[in-house]
Amino acid sequence: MELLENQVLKKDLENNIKLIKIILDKCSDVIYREFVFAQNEQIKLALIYTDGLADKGQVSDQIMRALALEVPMAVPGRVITKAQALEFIKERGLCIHQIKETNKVGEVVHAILSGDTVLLVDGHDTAIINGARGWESRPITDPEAEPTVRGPRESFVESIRVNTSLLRRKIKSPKLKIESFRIGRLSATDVAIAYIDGVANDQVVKEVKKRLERIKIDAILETGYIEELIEDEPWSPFPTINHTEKPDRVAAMLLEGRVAIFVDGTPFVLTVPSLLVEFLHASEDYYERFIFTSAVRVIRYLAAFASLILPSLYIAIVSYHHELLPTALLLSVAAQRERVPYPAFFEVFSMELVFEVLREAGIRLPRPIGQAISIVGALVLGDSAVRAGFVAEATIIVVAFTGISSFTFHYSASISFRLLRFFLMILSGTLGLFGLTAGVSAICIHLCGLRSFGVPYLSPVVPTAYSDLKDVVLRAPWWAMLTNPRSVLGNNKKREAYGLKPTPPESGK
Amino acid sequence: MQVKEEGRVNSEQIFFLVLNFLLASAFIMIPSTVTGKAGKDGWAAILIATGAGSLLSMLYTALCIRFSGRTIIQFAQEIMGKIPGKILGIIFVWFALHLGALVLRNFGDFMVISLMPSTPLIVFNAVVMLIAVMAVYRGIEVLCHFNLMLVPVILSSMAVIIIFSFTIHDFDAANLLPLFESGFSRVLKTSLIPLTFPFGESVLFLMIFPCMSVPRDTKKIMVGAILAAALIMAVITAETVAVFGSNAKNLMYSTHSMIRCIELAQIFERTDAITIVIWILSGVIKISVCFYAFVKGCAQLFALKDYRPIVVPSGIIMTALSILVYENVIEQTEFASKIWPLYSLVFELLLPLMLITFDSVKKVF
Repeated sequence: MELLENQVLKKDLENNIKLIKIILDKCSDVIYREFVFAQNEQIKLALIYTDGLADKGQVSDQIMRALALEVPMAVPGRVITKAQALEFIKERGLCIHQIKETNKVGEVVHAILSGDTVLLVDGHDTAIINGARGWESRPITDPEAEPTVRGPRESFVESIRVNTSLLRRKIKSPKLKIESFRIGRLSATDVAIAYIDGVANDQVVKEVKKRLERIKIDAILETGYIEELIEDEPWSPFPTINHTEKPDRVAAMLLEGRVAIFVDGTPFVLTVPSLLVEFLHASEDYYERFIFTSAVRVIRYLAAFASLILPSLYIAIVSYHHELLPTALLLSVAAQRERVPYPAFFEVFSMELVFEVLREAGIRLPRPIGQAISIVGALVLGDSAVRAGFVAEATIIVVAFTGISSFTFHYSASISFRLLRFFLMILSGTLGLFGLTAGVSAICIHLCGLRSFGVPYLSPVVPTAYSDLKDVVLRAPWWAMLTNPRSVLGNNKKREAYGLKPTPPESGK
Repeated sequence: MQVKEEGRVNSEQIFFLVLNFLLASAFIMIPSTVTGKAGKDGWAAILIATGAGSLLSMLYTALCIRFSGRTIIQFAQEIMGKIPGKILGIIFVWFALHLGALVLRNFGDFMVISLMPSTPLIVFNAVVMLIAVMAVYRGIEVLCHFNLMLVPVILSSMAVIIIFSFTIHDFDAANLLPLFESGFSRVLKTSLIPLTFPFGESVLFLMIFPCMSVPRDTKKIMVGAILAAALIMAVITAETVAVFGSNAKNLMYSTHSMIRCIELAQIFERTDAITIVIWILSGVIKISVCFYAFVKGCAQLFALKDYRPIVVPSGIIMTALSILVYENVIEQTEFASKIWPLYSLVFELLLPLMLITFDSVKKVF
């Protein structure tokens, strides 16, 4: 089979078709259409394409009709010999926007299976590949995983060409480079990297290409495959590669000097290098006014912190350091906990597990039932657990708040926070505040050592890049972001002109 | 593969590492130790020690600049020749190990006494050592970054403690008067304690300074960190005296007891558990620095390419030593105030002084 694909085409049409039929044996979706050239019936032609991937309208109107009927009308009376046929068809016969020639059988087969339409001409050992793809695809819709109130509503779809076009529409500069790869022995998936020349760090671009070329795998079905195959620290619970389904977010990432990796067949696009802070930022942060954004971001950071340590802090305080609570609160918590038969650790740990089950059920269930689950789960289960005396009210409050907090920021980072939350709960359940502090220290040390494509994961906070701090917890107004807020990533230091701060015209004149 | 560590850390990171190293255990231990000996004039002893400590740090920085890019283990062999140099190196490495174990022990004792009396000491020592092992295993750069993460937390909590101690009900600045009641010579003698702990302990940074990207800054860093640390410690010491009066010298951990007294609007009460957090965080840094000096020193003494294979066994040795060094807390207090000041001077003053003298003499002849 491999040998057949390495062959080149022969002059004889019958032979070529036979060859392709052997390779594409038992592929019932491939269609072979043989017909004759209108001007000279001696010249036999064949179209080969995959049903469902090629645009049938284009194939029948722009290729078949033109070649089998209309060519004589364009050049009446001219006689075309077999030898001239290929040149003539290319120049006058095909009303297709993009054509390519090849004489390799392997390329022909790949073109057919990718949705292109291959035209074979009798007496020529060259095939014409017509770019007449057209298949059913999902329309561009609202981003499901990253909804926004203000900002573009479009999201990527499963087709890589549509996705790169969405990006190109945002950045109409020749400096936006989109380079293609093909990965996967069986899937032959189209993969593209996009970056802005002169903004992205050349070293990072080179490194991304190097890591992509290293991949030898049978199939790539989602960006997740690539993510796990190219990340810096495979054992880390933290994601060192970001993904998004919003074209505006990808554009913003590229403008800050990152590299995007598109994969055909998925609406998610990877961006590298990525920093921890960007998981706490939403694209909307840059569209809303900076005062509001900064306030919201403070809340988001607090929520992220709470989602990591709040349950463990509660366990530590309730079971080891009651004295930390103000007296009135302490009495109230003690009264609630009096009825509960379990230690605080067991109580919180099991309720967190219950919450995780509810969350998972909410995602997996068909959407109409999702509502019911949240009502049954959150209200009924929580309320009856308290009334039955299994858990204290305070525990429910802590667990519910922690759960909600973990949804205030990027989903993939919140997964790692949720996992580590359980690790911290065990530590604070055994050693109290000491264990919690030790656990947080261990996480911090781990984070300090993490790198994403050579960039420290915690930058610009640690190591501190002072000029980049304008876009971490607070966001500076746009007229003050003179330099790139992520200068650690690329080499685009200067961003905008000086003195863009708007001032009202002087009054009283 | 060992990443080259030289020239990878910037001056700001080293400054905060030194500052945190100086404040770590001293923030809790120094006020009770100096008031124990000099009474209510303890704060003055700290200030006097600052001057001497700065001089001492000049000695270290002079060595560091003269032999930039090389650690004390390396230049000791250059100055004294191979065998004597190695012997001095072993002495220095022993100091790092011993100091690390002592700090670890202080730390564990504090946890057991003030927080969890029925938990065995080894649990605390082992957990803290584990964190230090993690940090040191990933290299000096990660240690500095980790420290940089902690600095805002530690410094702001110290600021909160210092400011809100003024609001404690019993706070009375008159407790500090009269000055030098027990005689100035007593204060002068006491100043040997803060000079050797924590200022002189910064001799360990002779293992870390070669990692700096700008070696010239060491002088500024050392003096700046010593002044800042001394100021914080002196203020805290004065505050404990102002709050507890003549009782201050009888308290085991007077800083901790003072923080217990802080009350704010009935929301923040008995917040001494917060001290534990600071204590763990900065304690980890101090132990990590000692530990780093130890493993890096051993690796260089025995000409290992990489120090990482010996990190875990060394961590076990340091934990074991921390359990063995004292029988109980009383012994520790005795050791800290009577033996340590003289014992540590061998490493903190004698060793560097000898090296620099020999080097200067060699240059003359």
